[in-house]
Amino acid sequence: MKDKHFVIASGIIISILAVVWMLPVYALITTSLKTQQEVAMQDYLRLPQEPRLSNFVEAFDALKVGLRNSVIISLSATFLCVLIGSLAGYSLTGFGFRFATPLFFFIVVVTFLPYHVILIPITQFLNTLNLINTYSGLILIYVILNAPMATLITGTFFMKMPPELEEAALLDGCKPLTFYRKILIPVSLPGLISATILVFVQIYNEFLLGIVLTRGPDVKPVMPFLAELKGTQIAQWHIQMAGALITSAIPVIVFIFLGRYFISGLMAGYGKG
Amino acid sequence: MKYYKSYGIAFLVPILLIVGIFYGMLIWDFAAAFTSWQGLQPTWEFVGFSNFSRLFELERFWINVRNNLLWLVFFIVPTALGGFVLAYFLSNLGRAENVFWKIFLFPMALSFVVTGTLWAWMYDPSSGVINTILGGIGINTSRLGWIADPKIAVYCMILSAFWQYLGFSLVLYLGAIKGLPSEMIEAAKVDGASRFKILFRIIFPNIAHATLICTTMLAITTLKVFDLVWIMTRGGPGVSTEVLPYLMYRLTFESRDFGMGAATSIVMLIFSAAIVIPYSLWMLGKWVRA
Amino acid sequence: MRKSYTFMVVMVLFTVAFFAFSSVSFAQPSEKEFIIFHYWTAGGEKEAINALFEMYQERNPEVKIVENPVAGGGGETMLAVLMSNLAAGIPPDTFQDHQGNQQKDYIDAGYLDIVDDIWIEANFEERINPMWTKTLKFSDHVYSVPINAHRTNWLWYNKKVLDEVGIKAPETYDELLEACQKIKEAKPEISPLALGSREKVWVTYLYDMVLLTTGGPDFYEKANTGRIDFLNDPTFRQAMERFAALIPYIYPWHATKSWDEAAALLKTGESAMYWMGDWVLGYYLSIGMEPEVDFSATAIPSDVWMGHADTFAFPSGVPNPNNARDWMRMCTTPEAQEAFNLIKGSVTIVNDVPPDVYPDPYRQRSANDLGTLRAVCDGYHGGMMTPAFASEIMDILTRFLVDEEVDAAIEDIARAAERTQLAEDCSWFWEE
Repeated sequence: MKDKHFVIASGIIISILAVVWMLPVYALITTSLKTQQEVAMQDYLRLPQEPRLSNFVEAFDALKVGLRNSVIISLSATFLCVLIGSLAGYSLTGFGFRFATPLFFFIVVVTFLPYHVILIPITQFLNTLNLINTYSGLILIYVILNAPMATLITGTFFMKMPPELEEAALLDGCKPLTFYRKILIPVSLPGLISATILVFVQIYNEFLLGIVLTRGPDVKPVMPFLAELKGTQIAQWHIQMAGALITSAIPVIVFIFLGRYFISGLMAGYGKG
Repeated sequence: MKYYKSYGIAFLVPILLIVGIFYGMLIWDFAAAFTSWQGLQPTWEFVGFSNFSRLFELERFWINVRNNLLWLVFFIVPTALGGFVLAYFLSNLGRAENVFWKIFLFPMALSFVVTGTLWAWMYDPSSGVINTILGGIGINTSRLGWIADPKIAVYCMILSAFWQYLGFSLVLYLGAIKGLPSEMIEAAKVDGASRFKILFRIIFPNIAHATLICTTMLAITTLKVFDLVWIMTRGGPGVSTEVLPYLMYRLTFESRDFGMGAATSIVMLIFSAAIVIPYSLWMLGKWVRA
Repeated sequence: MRKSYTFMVVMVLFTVAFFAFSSVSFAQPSEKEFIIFHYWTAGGEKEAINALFEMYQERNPEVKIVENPVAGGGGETMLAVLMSNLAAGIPPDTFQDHQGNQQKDYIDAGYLDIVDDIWIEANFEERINPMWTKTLKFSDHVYSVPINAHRTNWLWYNKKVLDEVGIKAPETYDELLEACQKIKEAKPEISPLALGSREKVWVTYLYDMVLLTTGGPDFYEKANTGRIDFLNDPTFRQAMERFAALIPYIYPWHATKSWDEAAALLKTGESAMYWMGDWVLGYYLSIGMEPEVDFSATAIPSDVWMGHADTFAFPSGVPNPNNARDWMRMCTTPEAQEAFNLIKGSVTIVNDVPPDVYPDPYRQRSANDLGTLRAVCDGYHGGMMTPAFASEIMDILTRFLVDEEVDAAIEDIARAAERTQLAEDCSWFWEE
């Protein structure tokens, strides 16, 4: 009985909290459905007199090229980051290298710096490679900026792996690549997923590099397009907020896709171990 | 795996290449910190530490450092702890957790640019969401200025980042808690341990790696926080909500004082090292296995 | 276990897709491209620049226009974007800029080329207010062509409120202060003067106003270029005291409002007057306010035109200078100026477009005044202050708005002027 009370109580607390959590999102949604005139009244809680879906049409029209570009860029860059990062994390944790700690330090410490400090060398670097205004150029830069962070997260999760697993695998004649693919990855899935979520969000929501390193709309990611929607000397919050909802769809899809793995796939991994 | 060291080295090659490029660019930045570069054209003229001494003389620099420390304390601890407790609650809810984690994670899908605007609307003292609701339940809101009040503005900003990142720590802890063998908790229950005890004596120590990663990630976020400050207050009122990355950006691109901007970035690097060194040393003891 | 496989397969597919896509889009800059950076990104402002693009396309059908809109602040992101590209040696063919100290940094760094011949060819100097020549000519050379003029010494006001209180539109500082007092007395629930300082730059607009109304245009130019002794100048002190006198009448929560949200306070009825540039007119029209019914505007002081221009600068080392030069040549024509400004909500920089082309009285007056009155550039966008000093004074003034301490503000301003070498960096303005 005690358990039941606890479940009910925590259910109530969480529901209230969830409602509070959704308040800004509520303001986001109502604004996205208003006219500019209604937004000017700054009555954020009031519902729009008549929901204007045309805001979404207008925003989507402006964003669609960017969405395509962002999907291509952020998914591939995220994948490369997590792949490179997890291999490095494995290498640093699994092989008993003597220099692992200082190396780890040097790899990880740069993740704490905002990239604005090296904006100019980044541009020069990409220009030297002739990769300005290309998908590969943007992906390359995002991988450079985010792979160290992926190393940090995955490395910490690999550390958690029970050593017996490794010994057993060795006895079975399992080589490092097979071990990485068949045991390490499934067992550390939650770690990989949090790395993926964080890296993806970082890349997808990045705004300045997308303008600096592109020319025209062909490969420009979606965030600069979203920022443009409001205008400089005019103020179209309603269109921008509609655009914000549209752009949030991609991360939400990614979260839901990844969530399936960390909620259900996890226990299976441990069970096998 | 020590029989396969060559594999280990091969796995390291890509990240070393990447970090090598990164450091190559940083050297450029370091060099700029010791030059008299002002204006838009690089002047590679060595001036020693004068950029640093000019920086330390600035009153706002110390306000920035203080704000960054406030962020470290008041953002990381509540977000990590909140996510942990919430994850525990959720893990007891069965299927409903599937709905809730999505709700809490949703703010992560929004860029800081949007979050900043939304929270400016939340905090708006005259017509904003918070004061409207407080006013609706009969609280006098005429003195609650939120981000317009320099004394509490920085905390208000931290709260909005808390809103955005709670979902992340929640998901991280949820994954970790669900990874624990259920026998562990059952056994404790049989022993008659209270829920509080189970939570902090049994679950918490066993998912230390999640705490570690969570706090580190949040630390990275706080040291990089830029867009939120830019959108919500531009560092104002005065410089009361400014943080180091924003100062760096303003010195570099607004004041066009590249030398001082680069010096700021070195200060930030020292900050980061202060976080990463203990982390790495802890690894030394616990991590590297033979 | 199987799940991790699917996961891997999906990820591998993405990588393949990435390489496929990236090999397709290896676009090299072609001879026929015209790359332009600007920050008119949405709605009417975007339509205005599109009108220019159309006109340009007619003149040069073979050229492909590649526009790079840079959103973010009033061009605050622009410098970071430009800086990286200029320093990397890949300049755009032209970019949106202002004048004065805003432009001078690019010239000092050697990033811009001279376009004197375009000015001479179009007889441009004769057709514009001499102030523009003064702020666009550096050591006798020009590097850009201005496209429009925004007036910024406008006071927008809620006509109904002022009528109810029974005051006429203020035309001097004293009348403004009096209006504030009367409104406060008659309607204590209203903040007389709206302001949005979430973007700090708008505070400098008020600063410009008190300098201009206290010491006149000559003093204003001296003060903003650091040619006064900030600590001991009595006029400057008076100006700051007059600023302080206004603070109690300013909308108290200005720190949470953006410029447009502050403008809307006239619509929601929370404020009565708003000090802002003339782009706010377009905003008022689009939120359904009726000119001369719901709102109107008055210039303070009425005998000076203060504002700034948007210019197109000519970077050096672009692959096809003729594309940019033709763009600039086009911008000197009255047709291009008129087409752009009618949509943009500003007025033409050239005096040969008659003021009556504008549908509203405010721009008619602005165009008229610009052709006849003494004109000055505003402090930040107009490039009277250096960007470095502007960056500091924004912080000082936003704090001043909270603590209202005149002495501290004057001291801070003096120190900032000294630290950023304001007078030295602005000496070009005073060279004959």
